[in-house]
Amino acid sequence: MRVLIVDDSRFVRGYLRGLLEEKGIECEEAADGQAGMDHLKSRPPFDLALVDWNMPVMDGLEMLKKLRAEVLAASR
Amino acid sequence: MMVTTEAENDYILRALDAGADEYLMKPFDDEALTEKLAMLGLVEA
Repeated sequence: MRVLIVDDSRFVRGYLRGLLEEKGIECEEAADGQAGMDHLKSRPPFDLALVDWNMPVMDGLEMLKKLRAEVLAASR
Repeated sequence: MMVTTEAENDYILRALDAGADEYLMKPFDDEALTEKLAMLGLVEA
């Protein structure tokens, strides 16, 4: 399983990575929503994205909205 | 899954409405994370 951790806090990313890797889950990281979007597209597939709300550049809510819009557009 | 300090119901509803499958509040521990992953069917509880 591959998980993308999207959080502007290096501490939180490291904490999550530690917990997930203990479960044998492969982790990748991005520091804001835009970087997260880019990462999801450039390095698929991911089973899950863990997304912080408050981040610079693009916040987590905006990232979710854009992802959903792109998925819907792609399914048409 | 949204992982955030925002704890009010309004935030949770907005996240779910935007497409989040789950919502995990900071601070959290391994047990809370595992529970959410299990709810998504990604690990065993």
